[in-house]
Amino acid sequence: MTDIAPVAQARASAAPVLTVAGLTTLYKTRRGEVTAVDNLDLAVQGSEIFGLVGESGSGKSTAIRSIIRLLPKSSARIAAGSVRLGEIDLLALSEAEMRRVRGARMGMVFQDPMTSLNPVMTVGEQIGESLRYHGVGRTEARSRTLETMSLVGIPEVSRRYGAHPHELSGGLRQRVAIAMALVGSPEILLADEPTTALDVTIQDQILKLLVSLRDELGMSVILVTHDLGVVAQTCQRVAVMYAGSIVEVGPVKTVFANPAHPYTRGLLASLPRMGEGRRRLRVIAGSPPDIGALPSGCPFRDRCPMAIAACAEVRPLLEAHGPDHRVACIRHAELVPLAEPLPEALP
Amino acid sequence: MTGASVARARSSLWLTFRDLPSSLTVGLILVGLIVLVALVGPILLSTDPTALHLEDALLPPSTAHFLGTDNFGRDVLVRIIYGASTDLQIGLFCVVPPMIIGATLGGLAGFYGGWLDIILMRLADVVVAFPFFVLVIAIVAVLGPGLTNMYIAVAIVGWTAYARLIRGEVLVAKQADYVNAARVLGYRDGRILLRHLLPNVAGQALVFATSDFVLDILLGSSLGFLGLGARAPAPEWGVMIADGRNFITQAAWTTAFPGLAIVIVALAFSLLGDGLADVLRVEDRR
Amino acid sequence: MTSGLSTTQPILAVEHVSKTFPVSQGFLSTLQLRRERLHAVTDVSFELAQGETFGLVGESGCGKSTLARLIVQLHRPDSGRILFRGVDRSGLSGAARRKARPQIQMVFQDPYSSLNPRMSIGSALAEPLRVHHIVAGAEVGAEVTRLLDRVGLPRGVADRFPRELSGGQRQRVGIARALSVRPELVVADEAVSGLDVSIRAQVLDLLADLHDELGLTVLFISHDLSVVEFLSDRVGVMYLGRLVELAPARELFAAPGHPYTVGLMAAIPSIDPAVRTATAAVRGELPSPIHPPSGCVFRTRCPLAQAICATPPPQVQLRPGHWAACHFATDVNATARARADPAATPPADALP
Repeated sequence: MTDIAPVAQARASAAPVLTVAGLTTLYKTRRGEVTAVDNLDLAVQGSEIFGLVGESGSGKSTAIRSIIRLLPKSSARIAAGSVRLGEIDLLALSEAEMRRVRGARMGMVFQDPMTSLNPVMTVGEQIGESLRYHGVGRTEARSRTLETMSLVGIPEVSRRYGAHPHELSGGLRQRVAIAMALVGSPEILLADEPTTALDVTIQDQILKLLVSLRDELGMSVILVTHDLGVVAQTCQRVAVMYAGSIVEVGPVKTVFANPAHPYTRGLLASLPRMGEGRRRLRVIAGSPPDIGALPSGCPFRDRCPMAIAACAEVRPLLEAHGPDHRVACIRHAELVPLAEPLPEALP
Repeated sequence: MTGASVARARSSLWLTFRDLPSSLTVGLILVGLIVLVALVGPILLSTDPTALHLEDALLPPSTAHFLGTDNFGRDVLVRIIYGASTDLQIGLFCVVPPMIIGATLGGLAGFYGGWLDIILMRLADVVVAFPFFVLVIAIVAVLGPGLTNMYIAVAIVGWTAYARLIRGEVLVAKQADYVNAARVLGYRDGRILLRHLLPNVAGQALVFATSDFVLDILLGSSLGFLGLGARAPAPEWGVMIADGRNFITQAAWTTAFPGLAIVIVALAFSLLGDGLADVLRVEDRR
Repeated sequence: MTSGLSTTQPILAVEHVSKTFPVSQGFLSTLQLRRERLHAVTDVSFELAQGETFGLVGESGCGKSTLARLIVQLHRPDSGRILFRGVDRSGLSGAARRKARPQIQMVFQDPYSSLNPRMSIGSALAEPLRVHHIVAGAEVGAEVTRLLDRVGLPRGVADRFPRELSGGQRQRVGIARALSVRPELVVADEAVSGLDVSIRAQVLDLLADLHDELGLTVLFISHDLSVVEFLSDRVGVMYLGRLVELAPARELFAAPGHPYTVGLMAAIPSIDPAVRTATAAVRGELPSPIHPPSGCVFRTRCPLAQAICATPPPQVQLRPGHWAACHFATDVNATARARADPAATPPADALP
C-alpha cells in the first residue's frame, strides 16, 4: 500500500503529450460536405513514435493536418473535437496563437522535400527562419541552425548552410526539412509520409534518423504512412485508419502479431514477403472507399470476408480487444488469434 | 445499347451540362443568338442596306428607325444586322485558316523536332518580330484593299501564334505515357498525331481562337475604318463607325450602336473562351 | 552470360547495351563547349528465356526504366544490341517495324498518364485490335469484352473515360491494352508502384495468373525487392546504370553475392517489428550518373570497399546462373550461401 503514491506519480508523468478527442473534419465538395475524419480519438505519449497507417482516402493526412491546423480554409472545416497539446486546446487558438505553437512546440515534415522547401532561400536561412520568427537573435539562430543541421546528419554543415535546395539530393533535402521542423525543439513532430518520395536505402537512413532523434531528444512523433513495414520498424504504437476512422489501435508488436480487425489482417496478408516466393496474396476485394459514398454501418463491410447482416446497422466503435489493444469490429472476439503470423501465407 | 446504358448516357449528359461553368453557358447562348441574327436577319428584313434615302438622313432613334439613320438615311439597325454576317465572316476567315496552318506546322514541329522544328520556329520568330497590325496593313497595302486580301494577310501573320501554342502543348503531351504506349503498339505517326495528340492539345488553341476571333473582328473593323478592308457602302461595323465619325457630335447613334455591337460580340466570345478554359482545366485536373 | 535455365535460343538477348543522354542542351552547356552526358545504362547484358519472369530491381537512377525503354524501342542504344528471337529490331524500318512492335508490349508505371484522357476505355482497347487486324472487324467488340473479363474489369467500363476509373482499374486497362495485340514479351515498368497496398496485391495476383495462363515472358521492373521476388524466376540487380548481380530469385534472397544487394535487402523495412536495427543498411547517397566513380560504381557507399575497387570489378560466378560484379563476391555472403545450399544443410531431423 505504501507505493500507491509513486504509482500515481508515474501515471501523472505518463500523461499523453498530445490528446485528440472526437476530431471530425469535413471537406466541401460539389455534392455537399463529406466526412474525411470521423470522430477520431488518439493519445500520443512522451518519447513515442506513433504510427498512423492507411491507404489513400483513409483520412490519415487530413487527420494530422487537422491537428496542426494546416488545412485549406476554403475546402475543409474542423467540425468537432479537441486537440490538446499539454494544457492548451489547439482548436481553440487564434491563427496568430497557432503560429506561435507551430515551429516552437510542434514541427511538421512533409512528403515531398522539393516542394516543401523554398527554392530561392538558402538552406541555413530556411532552417533558422522559424527561430528568428520566434524572437531568437541572429548569431544564436545561426549557431543553433548549424547544430541542428549536424544533428540530422547533414555533412559539411558550414558549406551546406549557404546551399540552395536544388543543389541537394532528395535525402539531404528531407534532412533539411527535418532540421527545419526540429530547430525550435518541439515536443512533438508530425511527419506526413516523410520517406515515400525517397529511395529505399535513403528511406532506411531517414527512418533510422527519426528513431535516433527521438532517443536523443525525447520528443514524440506521429508518423503518417501507407507502408506497414515503416510502421513495424519505427513505431511503438500504431493506429490503422479506414474511411476516416481508426479501426484498430495498439502496440505495434501486438497489432502485427495478432491483428484483430479484418482490414488489418487483409493488409498484412496483401504484402509479398521476401524469401517466400510466389503465393497468392490473399487479396482484399474492391477498392479503397469513396468517402462521399460509404456503405451504412461498418465502412469496411462491403470488402470484408467476415461481414454479416448486423454489420450494416451501426458503425462499430473501438472496443478493448486486449491490453492497450482496441478494435472497431463487432466480430473481433470471434477472430482466432494467429499463433503463427498468417499461417495461410506459407506455401 | 441497352436501356440502362442509354439512361446512364443521358444522365451523364445532363450532369455534364449542369456542371458547365455559367460563363460557357451564357457565352454559348450569346454566340448562338448572334449567329442566328446574322443568318436569319437579312432573310426576314429583305431591305437593301445600301439603298440611299437622303430625305431620312441622320434621324434619331424612333419607332420607325429603332437605332436611327445615318447620313445617307440608311437604317442603322438594318445595317448592323447585315453587318453581323460580314463581321462573323471576317472573324471566321481570319481564325480558321491561320489555326489550321499553325496547328499543322506547330504539331509537326513539336512532334518531330530536329531541323523541321528549328526552321519553322525561326520563321515564326521572324514574323513575330514585326507588330501584328503593322505587318497585316503592310501586306494588305501591297496586295490591294479588300476582304480576301485581308484574309490572306492575316493567314500569313496569324499562323505563328497557333504554331507556337500547339508546338508547346505537343512537346509536353508527347512525353505522356499514352503516347509512348501508342508507339509501342506500333501505330503510325499520323494516327498518334491525329487520334492521340490533337484531341489533347486542341483545347488551348480553341480557347485562344475565341479571343483571336474578337481581335480579328476588331481588326476587320479597323481595316474597314482605314478603307483597307470591307469597302463602303458594304454594311460592316468598322466601316459604319468610320462613316459616322464625322457626325459624332450631332448623331452619336451612327457610331455608338455599331460600337456596341462589336462589344457584345467580343463579350460573347470571351465568355465562351473563358468557359471553355474552365472546362479544360477541370478535365485536366483529374 | 549463363542463364542456366535454357539451352534453346533466348526470347530476348541484351548484349553490352549502353545508353547516355546529353545533360541540358541549354545556353550554358553550349558555352562550356563540353557536352556532358548522363550515363543511364552502361554495358548491360542478360538474356530472357521463353516463358520466364525476369525481375529487374534497383533504386531511382539505376537505369532500369531506360533499359525498359530500350527494349521496347522507345530509345535506341548508343552501343550494343538487343535481339528479339535473334533479330535486332532496330534494323527494321517503316511498316516492318510497326508490324514487329506488338511482339513486345509495355505496362507503364503511372496509370494516370498511360491512358489517353479523351478516349473511352472501349476505344482504347479496340484501336490496337483494328490497327493490327488482331480479330475480324465484327469481332472487335467481343474481343474487347474478353479482354475486360481477362483482367477482371466489369464490362460497363468500356463506355467510361479514364478519369472515371480508380488507379487500380486504370492499371488493369493498361494491362489489357498490352495484352490486346497478343505479345510474346511484356515489359512491366513499376507497374504496381503507384497503387495502394490492397490494390497492388490484386494487380500482382493478376500478373501472376496471366503469366501462368498465357505463357507470357515478363520483364518485371520495380524498385521494390519484395514485389520482384514475388513474381520473378530470376532477378537482376542494377545500380548506377550497371547490372551488378544476377541470380535465380530464391538464391538471390537467400545468398546475395553483391554488397549492394545485401544493403538493399536490409534497407527494406521488414513488417516484423521484432527485427529492428539501429544503423542504416547503406550509407551515403547515390553518386552523380554524369561522373560515375571509376572501377566499381558502388565503392563510394560500400562497407567492403578497398583500394582494388577503383579497378573494374570482375563478374564472379558464384553458382550456375548466379554471378555478381564484385571483387569480393565470394566473401560477401559465404555463410548465407552455405545455408541456402541444400547439400550443405544438415537434414532437419538431424538437429538435436
